Amino acid sequence: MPMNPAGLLYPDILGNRYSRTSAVDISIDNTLIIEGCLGFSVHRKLTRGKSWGHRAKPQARTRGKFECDAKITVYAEDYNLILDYLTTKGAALNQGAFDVAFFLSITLFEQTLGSTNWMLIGCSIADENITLIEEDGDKEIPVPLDLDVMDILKDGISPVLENSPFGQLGA
Amino acid sequence: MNAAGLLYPDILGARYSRTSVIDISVDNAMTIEGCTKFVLHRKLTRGKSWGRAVKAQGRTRGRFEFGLQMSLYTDEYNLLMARLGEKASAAGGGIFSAAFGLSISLFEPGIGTTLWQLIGCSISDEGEKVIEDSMFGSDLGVDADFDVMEILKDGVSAGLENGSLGQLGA
Repeated sequence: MPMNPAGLLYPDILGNRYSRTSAVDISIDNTLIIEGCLGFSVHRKLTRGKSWGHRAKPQARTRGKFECDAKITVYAEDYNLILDYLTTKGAALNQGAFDVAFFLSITLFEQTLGSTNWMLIGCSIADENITLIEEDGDKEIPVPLDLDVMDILKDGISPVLENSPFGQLGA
Repeated sequence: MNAAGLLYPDILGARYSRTSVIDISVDNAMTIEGCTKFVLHRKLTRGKSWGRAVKAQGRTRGRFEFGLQMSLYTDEYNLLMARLGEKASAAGGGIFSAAFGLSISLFEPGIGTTLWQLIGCSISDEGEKVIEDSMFGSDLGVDADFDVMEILKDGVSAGLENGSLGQLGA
Protein backbone atom coordinates (compact mmCIF):
# COMPACT_ATOMS: atom_id res chain seq x y z
CA MET A 1 0.00 0.00 0.00
CA PRO A 2 1.57 3.33 -1.02
CA MET A 3 2.37 5.57 1.88
CA ASN A 4 3.98 8.98 1.88
CA PRO A 5 7.05 9.47 4.10
CA ALA A 6 4.99 10.86 6.96
CA GLY A 7 2.74 7.82 7.11
CA LEU A 8 -0.36 9.09 5.35
CA LEU A 9 -2.03 6.22 3.54
CA TYR A 10 -3.14 6.29 -0.11
CA PRO A 11 -5.58 4.67 -0.56
CA ASP A 12 -6.70 5.12 2.99
CA ILE A 13 -8.97 2.18 3.69
CA LEU A 14 -8.70 2.36 7.44
CA GLY A 15 -10.07 5.65 8.63
CA ASN A 16 -11.87 8.83 7.83
CA ARG A 17 -10.26 11.89 6.38
CA TYR A 18 -10.97 15.39 7.67
CA SER A 19 -14.35 16.78 6.73
CA ARG A 20 -16.92 19.11 8.29
CA THR A 21 -17.89 16.37 10.75
CA SER A 22 -14.33 16.20 12.07
CA ALA A 23 -14.77 19.53 13.87
CA VAL A 24 -14.96 18.39 17.48
CA ASP A 25 -14.84 21.77 19.15
CA ILE A 26 -15.48 25.34 18.12
CA SER A 27 -15.31 27.69 21.04
CA ILE A 28 -15.08 31.35 21.90
CA ASP A 29 -12.69 32.37 24.68
CA ASN A 30 -12.58 28.67 25.67
CA THR A 31 -15.98 29.36 27.24
CA LEU A 32 -18.81 29.37 24.74
CA ILE A 33 -19.08 26.27 22.58
CA ILE A 34 -20.65 26.84 19.19
CA GLU A 35 -22.65 23.83 18.05
CA GLY A 36 -24.76 25.38 15.34
CA CYS A 37 -21.98 26.23 12.93
CA LEU A 38 -22.55 25.52 9.25
CA GLY A 39 -19.58 27.28 7.72
CA PHE A 40 -16.07 28.13 8.91
CA SER A 41 -13.17 29.30 6.81
CA VAL A 42 -9.88 30.87 7.77
CA HIS A 43 -7.76 33.04 5.52
CA ARG A 44 -4.10 33.95 5.95
CA LYS A 45 -2.36 36.16 3.46
CA LEU A 46 1.19 37.44 3.21
CA THR A 47 1.74 40.17 0.65
CA ARG A 48 5.45 40.48 0.07
CA GLY A 49 6.89 43.71 -1.24
CA LYS A 50 8.86 43.38 -4.46
CA SER A 51 11.73 45.42 -5.84
CA TRP A 52 12.31 45.64 -9.56
CA GLY A 53 14.86 48.44 -9.67
CA HIS A 54 15.68 48.95 -13.33
CA ARG A 55 15.19 45.26 -14.15
CA ALA A 56 12.29 43.54 -15.86
CA LYS A 57 12.25 40.74 -13.30
CA PRO A 58 11.87 41.21 -9.55
CA GLN A 59 15.26 41.42 -7.90
CA ALA A 60 14.34 41.29 -4.24
CA ARG A 61 11.54 40.94 -1.76
CA THR A 62 10.67 42.65 1.51
CA ARG A 63 9.02 40.99 4.47
CA GLY A 64 5.71 42.57 3.50
CA LYS A 65 2.41 42.61 5.31
CA PHE A 66 0.56 39.69 6.88
CA GLU A 67 -3.24 39.76 7.06
CA CYS A 68 -5.75 37.33 8.52
CA ASP A 69 -9.48 37.00 8.44
CA ALA A 70 -12.12 34.37 8.92
CA LYS A 71 -15.68 33.70 7.89
CA ILE A 72 -18.11 31.83 10.05
CA THR A 73 -21.77 31.03 9.48
CA VAL A 74 -23.94 30.06 12.42
CA TYR A 75 -27.63 29.54 12.97
CA ALA A 76 -29.54 32.57 14.27
CA GLU A 77 -30.13 30.95 17.65
CA ASP A 78 -26.40 30.36 18.14
CA TYR A 79 -25.72 33.88 16.91
CA ASN A 80 -27.97 35.20 19.67
CA LEU A 81 -25.81 33.38 22.21
CA ILE A 82 -22.61 34.75 20.66
CA LEU A 83 -23.90 38.29 20.60
CA ASP A 84 -25.17 38.06 24.16
CA TYR A 85 -21.74 36.83 25.25
CA LEU A 86 -19.89 39.59 23.37
CA THR A 87 -22.29 42.27 24.56
CA THR A 88 -21.71 41.23 28.18
CA LYS A 89 -17.96 41.08 27.64
CA GLY A 90 -17.92 44.45 25.90
CA ALA A 91 -20.05 46.17 28.53
CA ALA A 92 -17.25 45.88 31.05
CA LEU A 93 -14.93 47.65 28.60
CA ASN A 94 -17.48 50.16 27.28
CA GLN A 95 -17.30 48.39 23.95
CA GLY A 96 -20.03 47.11 21.69
CA ALA A 97 -20.34 43.53 20.52
CA PHE A 98 -18.55 44.38 17.27
CA ASP A 99 -15.78 46.29 19.06
CA VAL A 100 -14.87 43.67 21.59
CA ALA A 101 -12.08 41.24 20.75
CA PHE A 102 -12.39 37.53 21.39
CA PHE A 103 -10.46 34.33 20.92
CA LEU A 104 -11.83 31.63 18.64
CA SER A 105 -10.56 28.11 18.25
CA ILE A 106 -11.56 25.17 16.11
CA THR A 107 -10.25 21.64 16.45
CA LEU A 108 -10.47 18.82 13.94
CA PHE A 109 -10.05 15.23 15.03
CA GLU A 110 -10.08 11.84 13.38
CA GLN A 111 -8.91 8.62 14.99
CA THR A 112 -6.13 7.80 12.56
CA LEU A 113 -5.13 11.38 11.78
CA GLY A 114 -5.12 13.00 15.19
CA SER A 115 -5.93 16.63 15.91
CA THR A 116 -5.47 19.85 14.01
CA ASN A 117 -6.11 23.04 15.89
CA TRP A 118 -6.59 26.58 14.63
CA MET A 119 -6.42 29.47 17.07
CA LEU A 120 -7.76 32.80 15.89
CA ILE A 121 -6.39 35.56 18.05
CA GLY A 122 -7.97 38.98 18.48
CA CYS A 123 -11.14 38.34 16.51
CA SER A 124 -13.86 40.93 16.17
CA ILE A 125 -16.97 40.88 14.04
CA ALA A 126 -16.50 43.03 10.96
CA ASP A 127 -19.52 42.17 8.85
CA GLU A 128 -22.90 40.66 9.60
CA ASN A 129 -25.38 39.94 6.82
CA ILE A 130 -28.64 38.31 7.82
CA THR A 131 -31.40 37.19 5.52
CA LEU A 132 -34.44 37.01 7.75
CA ILE A 133 -36.96 36.48 5.00
CA GLU A 134 -36.39 34.71 1.74
CA GLU A 135 -39.41 33.70 -0.24
CA ASP A 136 -39.81 29.92 -0.57
CA GLY A 137 -36.94 29.31 1.83
CA ASP A 138 -37.87 27.17 4.82
CA LYS A 139 -34.39 26.49 6.06
CA GLU A 140 -33.22 27.63 9.45
CA ILE A 141 -31.97 31.22 9.36
CA PRO A 142 -28.19 31.31 8.91
CA VAL A 143 -26.04 34.28 9.92
CA PRO A 144 -22.82 34.72 7.92
CA LEU A 145 -20.13 36.74 9.69
CA ASP A 146 -16.84 38.14 8.52
CA LEU A 147 -14.25 38.35 11.27
CA ASP A 148 -11.36 40.75 11.57
CA VAL A 149 -8.49 38.71 13.03
CA MET A 150 -5.06 39.75 14.32
CA ASP A 151 -3.28 36.39 13.96
CA ILE A 152 -4.13 32.79 13.17
CA LEU A 153 -2.02 30.00 14.63
CA LYS A 154 -2.20 26.46 13.30
CA ASP A 155 -1.28 23.97 16.00
CA GLY A 156 0.15 26.87 17.98
CA ILE A 157 2.41 28.13 15.21
CA SER A 158 2.16 31.33 13.23
CA PRO A 159 3.24 31.10 9.57
CA VAL A 160 5.11 34.40 9.82
CA LEU A 161 7.75 35.38 12.32
CA GLU A 162 8.70 38.92 13.20
CA ASN A 163 12.30 40.03 12.94
CA SER A 164 12.47 40.60 16.66
CA PRO A 165 10.64 39.26 19.70
CA PHE A 166 8.38 42.30 19.61
CA GLY A 167 5.06 42.10 17.80
CA GLN A 168 5.07 38.30 17.64
CA LEU A 169 2.14 36.13 18.68
CA GLY A 170 2.67 32.38 18.84
CA ALA A 171 5.80 30.39 18.04
CA MET B 1 -26.73 21.02 24.74
CA ASN B 2 -24.29 23.92 24.71
CA ALA B 3 -23.53 25.92 27.82
CA ALA B 4 -26.32 28.41 27.20
CA GLY B 5 -29.02 25.77 26.84
CA LEU B 6 -29.51 25.48 23.09
CA LEU B 7 -30.37 21.89 22.20
CA TYR B 8 -28.54 19.86 19.54
CA PRO B 9 -30.34 17.88 18.26
CA ASP B 10 -33.44 19.93 18.92
CA ILE B 11 -36.34 17.48 18.79
CA LEU B 12 -38.75 19.66 20.72
CA GLY B 13 -39.36 22.86 18.81
CA ALA B 14 -38.99 24.77 15.58
CA ARG B 15 -35.96 26.87 14.77
CA TYR B 16 -36.02 30.41 13.37
CA SER B 17 -36.98 30.63 9.71
CA ARG B 18 -38.89 33.06 7.52
CA THR B 19 -42.15 31.95 9.12
CA SER B 20 -40.88 32.97 12.56
CA VAL B 21 -41.28 36.63 11.60
CA ILE B 22 -44.31 37.77 13.57
CA ASP B 23 -44.14 41.50 13.01
CA ILE B 24 -42.57 43.96 10.59
CA SER B 25 -43.65 47.48 11.27
CA VAL B 26 -42.87 51.00 10.18
CA ASP B 27 -42.76 53.63 12.93
CA ASN B 28 -44.65 51.16 15.15
CA ALA B 29 -47.71 52.23 13.20
CA MET B 30 -47.90 50.40 9.90
CA THR B 31 -47.53 46.64 9.72
CA ILE B 32 -45.95 45.13 6.63
CA GLU B 33 -47.32 41.73 5.72
CA GLY B 34 -46.35 41.33 2.09
CA CYS B 35 -42.60 41.09 2.52
CA THR B 36 -40.74 38.51 0.44
CA LYS B 37 -37.18 39.41 1.34
CA PHE B 38 -35.55 41.10 4.32
CA VAL B 39 -31.77 41.28 4.59
CA LEU B 40 -30.07 43.45 7.15
CA HIS B 41 -26.40 44.24 7.18
CA ARG B 42 -24.08 45.65 9.84
CA LYS B 43 -20.46 46.26 9.06
CA LEU B 44 -17.55 47.53 11.13
CA THR B 45 -14.38 48.29 9.19
CA ARG B 46 -11.57 48.53 11.70
CA GLY B 47 -8.44 50.45 10.89
CA LYS B 48 -5.23 48.44 11.16
CA SER B 49 -1.73 49.56 12.04
CA TRP B 50 1.33 47.62 10.98
CA GLY B 51 3.98 50.17 11.93
CA ARG B 52 7.30 48.60 10.97
CA ALA B 53 6.17 45.05 11.67
CA VAL B 54 4.93 42.34 9.32
CA LYS B 55 1.98 41.54 11.53
CA ALA B 56 -0.75 43.96 12.51
CA GLN B 57 0.21 45.63 15.78
CA GLY B 58 -2.91 47.60 16.53
CA ARG B 59 -6.45 48.40 15.53
CA THR B 60 -8.48 51.60 15.51
CA ARG B 61 -12.17 51.85 16.30
CA GLY B 62 -12.99 52.19 12.61
CA ARG B 63 -16.26 52.99 10.90
CA PHE B 64 -19.70 51.43 11.36
CA GLU B 65 -22.09 51.09 8.42
CA PHE B 66 -25.55 49.65 8.04
CA GLY B 67 -27.80 48.58 5.23
CA LEU B 68 -31.11 46.92 4.50
CA GLN B 69 -32.53 45.22 1.45
CA MET B 70 -36.21 44.50 1.34
CA SER B 71 -38.59 43.17 -1.29
CA LEU B 72 -42.29 43.91 -1.03
CA TYR B 73 -45.32 43.21 -3.12
CA THR B 74 -46.22 46.29 -5.13
CA ASP B 75 -49.50 46.75 -3.26
CA GLU B 76 -47.62 46.78 0.02
CA TYR B 77 -44.99 49.13 -1.34
CA ASN B 78 -47.72 51.54 -2.39
CA LEU B 79 -48.93 51.67 1.22
CA LEU B 80 -45.39 52.37 2.41
CA MET B 81 -45.05 55.10 -0.20
CA ALA B 82 -48.31 56.67 0.90
CA ARG B 83 -47.21 56.70 4.51
CA LEU B 84 -43.79 58.15 3.71
CA GLY B 85 -45.42 60.67 1.39
CA GLU B 86 -47.52 62.01 4.26
CA LYS B 87 -44.52 62.11 6.52
CA ALA B 88 -42.39 63.79 3.89
CA SER B 89 -44.91 66.48 3.03
CA ALA B 90 -45.18 67.41 6.72
CA ALA B 91 -41.40 67.78 6.86
CA GLY B 92 -41.15 69.49 3.48
CA GLY B 93 -39.09 66.78 1.81
CA GLY B 94 -39.45 64.01 -0.72
CA ILE B 95 -40.45 60.43 -0.06
CA PHE B 96 -36.89 59.17 -0.36
CA SER B 97 -35.76 61.82 2.12
CA ALA B 98 -38.26 60.80 4.80
CA ALA B 99 -36.68 58.89 7.67
CA PHE B 100 -38.57 56.18 9.50
CA GLY B 101 -38.11 53.48 12.08
CA LEU B 102 -38.46 49.86 11.07
CA SER B 103 -38.65 46.85 13.33
CA ILE B 104 -38.80 43.13 12.74
CA SER B 105 -39.50 40.47 15.37
CA LEU B 106 -38.89 36.74 15.29
CA PHE B 107 -40.60 34.39 17.69
CA GLU B 108 -40.60 30.67 18.31
CA PRO B 109 -41.83 28.93 21.45
CA GLY B 110 -38.84 27.52 23.27
CA ILE B 111 -36.45 30.00 21.70
CA GLY B 112 -38.21 33.24 22.47
CA THR B 113 -38.11 36.57 20.68
CA THR B 114 -35.43 38.35 18.71
CA LEU B 115 -36.07 41.97 17.85
CA TRP B 116 -34.24 44.07 15.30
CA GLN B 117 -34.79 47.84 15.32
CA LEU B 118 -33.61 49.80 12.30
CA ILE B 119 -33.28 53.46 13.15
CA GLY B 120 -33.31 56.32 10.67
CA CYS B 121 -34.18 54.33 7.57
CA SER B 122 -34.69 56.02 4.23
CA ILE B 123 -35.11 54.55 0.79
CA SER B 124 -31.95 54.84 -1.28
CA ASP B 125 -32.66 52.58 -4.22
CA GLU B 126 -35.87 51.27 -5.70
CA GLY B 127 -36.31 48.79 -8.52
CA GLU B 128 -39.62 47.49 -9.75
CA LYS B 129 -40.18 44.83 -12.37
CA VAL B 130 -43.42 45.76 -14.06
CA ILE B 131 -43.12 43.51 -17.07
CA GLU B 132 -40.89 40.50 -17.35
CA ASP B 133 -41.23 37.65 -19.75
CA SER B 134 -42.22 34.43 -17.96
CA MET B 135 -43.68 36.16 -14.90
CA PHE B 136 -46.83 34.04 -15.31
CA GLY B 137 -49.09 36.03 -13.08
CA SER B 138 -46.97 36.27 -9.98
CA ASP B 139 -47.46 39.27 -7.71
CA LEU B 140 -45.55 42.31 -8.87
CA GLY B 141 -42.80 43.20 -6.47
CA VAL B 142 -40.45 46.02 -5.60
CA ASP B 143 -36.83 45.57 -4.51
CA ALA B 144 -35.61 48.43 -2.35
CA ASP B 145 -32.31 49.27 -0.68
CA PHE B 146 -32.41 51.38 2.45
CA ASP B 147 -29.93 53.76 4.00
CA VAL B 148 -29.91 53.05 7.74
CA MET B 149 -28.32 55.03 10.58
CA GLU B 150 -28.27 52.33 13.23
CA ILE B 151 -29.46 48.77 13.79
CA LEU B 152 -30.16 47.53 17.31
CA LYS B 153 -30.59 43.87 18.12
CA ASP B 154 -32.79 43.38 21.18
CA GLY B 155 -32.27 47.07 21.97
CA VAL B 156 -28.49 46.85 21.94
CA SER B 157 -26.12 48.39 19.43
CA ALA B 158 -23.11 46.40 18.26
CA GLY B 159 -20.86 49.45 18.54
CA LEU B 160 -20.42 51.83 21.45
CA GLU B 161 -19.06 55.34 21.12
CA ASN B 162 -16.17 56.47 23.24
CA GLY B 163 -18.25 59.16 24.93
CA SER B 164 -21.88 59.68 25.72
CA LEU B 165 -22.49 61.67 22.54
CA GLY B 166 -23.31 60.05 19.22
CA GLN B 167 -24.70 56.83 20.69
CA LEU B 168 -28.07 55.29 19.87
CA GLY B 169 -29.17 52.31 21.95
CA ALA B 170 -27.36 50.71 24.85
